[in-house]
Amino acid sequence: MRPIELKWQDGEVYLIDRVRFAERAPARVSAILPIRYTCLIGGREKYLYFEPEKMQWFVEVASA
Amino acid sequence: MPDFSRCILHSDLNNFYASVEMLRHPELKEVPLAVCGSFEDRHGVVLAKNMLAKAAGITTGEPFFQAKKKCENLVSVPADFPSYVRVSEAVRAIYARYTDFIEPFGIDECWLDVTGSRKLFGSGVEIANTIREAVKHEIGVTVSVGVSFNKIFAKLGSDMKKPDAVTEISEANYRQTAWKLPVSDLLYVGKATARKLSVLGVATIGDLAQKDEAVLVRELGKWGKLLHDYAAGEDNSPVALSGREREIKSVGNSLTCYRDLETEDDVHLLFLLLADSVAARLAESGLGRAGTVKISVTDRELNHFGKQGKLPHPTRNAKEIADCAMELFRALYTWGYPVRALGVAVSDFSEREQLTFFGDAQEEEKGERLDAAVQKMREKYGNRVLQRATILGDKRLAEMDIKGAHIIHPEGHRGDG
Repeated sequence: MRPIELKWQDGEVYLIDRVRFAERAPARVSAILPIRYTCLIGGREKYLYFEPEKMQWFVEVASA
Repeated sequence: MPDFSRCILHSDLNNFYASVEMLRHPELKEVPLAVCGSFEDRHGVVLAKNMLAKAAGITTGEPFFQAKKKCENLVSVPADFPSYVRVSEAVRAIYARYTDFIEPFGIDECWLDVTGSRKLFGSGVEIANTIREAVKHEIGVTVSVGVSFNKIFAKLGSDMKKPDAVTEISEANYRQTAWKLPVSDLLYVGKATARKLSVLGVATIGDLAQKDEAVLVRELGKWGKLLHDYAAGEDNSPVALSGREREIKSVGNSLTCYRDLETEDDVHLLFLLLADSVAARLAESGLGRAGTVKISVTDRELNHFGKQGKLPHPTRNAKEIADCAMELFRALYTWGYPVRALGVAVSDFSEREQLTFFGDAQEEEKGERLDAAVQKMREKYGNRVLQRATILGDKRLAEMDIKGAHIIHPEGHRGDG
């Protein structure tokens, strides 16, 4: 499984150029045993998480 | 010179249930948290707590309402065992990178024998630290690891520094470390034993190790010798190879009937139902054939009786199990009162087919093929699709889905394959 693009809540779509790593790592938001995908999006590294139990993708959002 | 001494780790997941809940609810990291059983009625007891709740004096096992009095802002969440099992298995997968000698002790503790792993991965302390870091960075929970030359001291070590720490009790330092600890810290020394020991003037683990063994045996029986050995660092029990601890010793099922059973026919009926479910589980588990049947009987006055006996030859056939159970019952039960509950378990498994001189191998095979066919039908259409005619005599009993309703998986069972 490889993520291809990320659709943000405002509808904008970001292409994922490359997945650098996929490894198990805890998130700072609610998730048990998620897989962390280190992705290159627009030349910048971003974490994308997948929680197999819930079959759910998510990203961490910096709180305001 | 090669190091021939054993190297055992004991890894203990810190505040395990509460730590998993903090992964699910990161916002609860900053508040005192108690994981409770039976949450709905608010009368659940505290099964686990985080560090903040511990600091507030909350103890495991106390009722939540009582804990709440000690700590007003205590937050409770209901226990979610399937999640704890998943996390525990993920942690064990990390252990398995370093050794295949992994012996679980409950859901949150494991012994690891890394004696043979040191050439590849470094010293015991180095392996312990690698594991500690991996668990923290990959899973998000922490472990305390004890490193020692036997299981007892390794366990002692994992309790000495918490959380997220490694403690070594070596052959060089155990007199200065382990021996200074109160004797109640030693595995298997409970309150009662500690009291007895204190009467003998034994306060620390060192006292116990230096006490005359004969005195301990006189006061504590064979435990006296065992505990003396443990305290002296002379525990050489091996760490089980992973998987072995799951070796199933028996397969059984029991049922409290909706009505009291008054006749042998009634009992036979229930034995057939139970034997059916036991045979099905035996077939599923791939354990082969059983050589021994054990029955348990509870009468209306809640007196318990039990008896076991050898089958004429190993079998996995439901009817043969039921027949043997019935024979045992006849030999055991005197009908003082009607029967309230019955149980059937089989054990003593063997894989091999055994040829019998008198037995009819063809007949036996036929019985097994029949069982297998029935089992297939039940898997496809539910447990009640095919039933024994005998059982239809009691409608209500016939309506019970005995197998579906009564499987309890042992702790650590890998339900997700």
